[in-house]
Amino acid sequence: MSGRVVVVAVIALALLVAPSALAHGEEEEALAAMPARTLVQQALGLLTQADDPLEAHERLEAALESEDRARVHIPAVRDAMRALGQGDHEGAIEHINQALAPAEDPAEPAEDPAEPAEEVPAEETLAHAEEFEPDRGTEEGIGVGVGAVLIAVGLGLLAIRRRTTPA
Amino acid sequence: MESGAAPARLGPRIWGWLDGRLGLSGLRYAVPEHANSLAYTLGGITAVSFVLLVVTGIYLAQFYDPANVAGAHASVFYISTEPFLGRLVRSLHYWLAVAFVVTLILHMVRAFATGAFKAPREFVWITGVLLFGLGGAALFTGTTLKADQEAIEALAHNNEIANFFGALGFWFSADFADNVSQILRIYIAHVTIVPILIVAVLAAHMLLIRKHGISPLPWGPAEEVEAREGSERQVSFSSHMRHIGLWGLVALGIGLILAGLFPPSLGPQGVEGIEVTKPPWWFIWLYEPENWFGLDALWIFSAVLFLGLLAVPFADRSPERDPRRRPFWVALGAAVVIAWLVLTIIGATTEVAQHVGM
Repeated sequence: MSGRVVVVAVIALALLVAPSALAHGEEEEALAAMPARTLVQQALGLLTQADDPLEAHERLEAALESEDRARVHIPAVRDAMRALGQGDHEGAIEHINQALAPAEDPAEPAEDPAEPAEEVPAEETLAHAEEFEPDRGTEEGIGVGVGAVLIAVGLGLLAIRRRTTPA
Repeated sequence: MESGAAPARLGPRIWGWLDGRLGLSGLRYAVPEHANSLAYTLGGITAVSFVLLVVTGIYLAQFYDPANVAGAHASVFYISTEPFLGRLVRSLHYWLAVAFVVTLILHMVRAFATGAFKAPREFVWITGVLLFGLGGAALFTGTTLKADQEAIEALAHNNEIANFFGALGFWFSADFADNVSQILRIYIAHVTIVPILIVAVLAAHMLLIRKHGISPLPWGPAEEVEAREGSERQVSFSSHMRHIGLWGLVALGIGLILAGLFPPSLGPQGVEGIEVTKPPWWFIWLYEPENWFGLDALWIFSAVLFLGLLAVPFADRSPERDPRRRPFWVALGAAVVIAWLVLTIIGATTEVAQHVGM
């Protein structure tokens, strides 16, 4: 293979690879420019609704590098990343909720490692993170019962009308 | 000796008193008998669904907080857990919206298949297409109000398209008003602007039907259809209204059963900057085109459908109404419905992808 062909091949390869590499770099820069709290919330959404731990990990990493780390408990973010690394998604969700917990009290210093965020019960954090499925109880029973009566009454009266309408 | 005629019974006397003042007997004008078939009652069921949506919406509005995303999401959660019948009413509101969409689409398919848009009823069709568009606006704004991830992503799509249109889209963008949240403005659109427009266009639609009459049954050559139009057995419009009311009762019953059995879920509060959900089923036909062509596909495909529907009366101009005598147009209509179905299935089964900001 002549040298020219090799050079052209290398340039072509570089042209193919460079845009995606640059785009990836741009994406990382764009993430780092976002507030840490938004990034951690995004990580939570990605974990709970898209089951995408890789992307979630990337957002958490960016949160650590973000300049605006207000209202985020950073040690809990690190714990979440560690949990993700061990494949413990539920644990990661718990840590992420703890990382976001300072939002409950905006006056609380959010980034002091000496003062960990208040412990939030695991059930509560998961309840906030996961999709809410309404209970089914008396209301639903009323709905089904009344609905069945309305259908019967409506169809019954329609049948009577059809029968009594002169041909 | 008897003193004159016996006094009329109470019911007819009350009717006479009201009729003298409100002109209710004016509703007894004649309509063709086929108006009372289910196929010709679909539009009426859509209208009943709309009225019930307003009623359930008024109840939900008592507890809804549109101040910001967090408040909105928390209040929908509250509605689903605390107020008397709140969960059922929210669920019923959702299923009535489904009934509204389904009966509206079936009504349009029936009107298209039977040539109900043909002269002189072009503007009956056009006002119907406008109602279809406004229904889409009501569905979109309603979807965003729950402020979960699906809602926030819908809002992000809205903002991206609004920004694309520059000055034309400014009113729809988040930047239009800095002092209130965008969700508040969308709430106002959902509960006032869109319903007022729907009522206004619906009134025009009904007045035009009153003027031109309910379209004839389409079967046979055009001359035969025209001859039959004047000779068909008639019933009163008030009888047609009772018929619609009874089907409305059945639709409400079905809505209540579905509301009880399949309440809509509520995702966690939405967060900006990620796309991890898909749109609700009525918009999901646009999802795959968005994968192919990017965000612009949303408005381009919607505009093509909307303008195509508006053009129908001016494209299919032959006097024939019988679908068997309009094979080209019926095939075209069927192709559109099949394409919609196929895109819906593909959209529902394809993987979630990022579109905003790409």
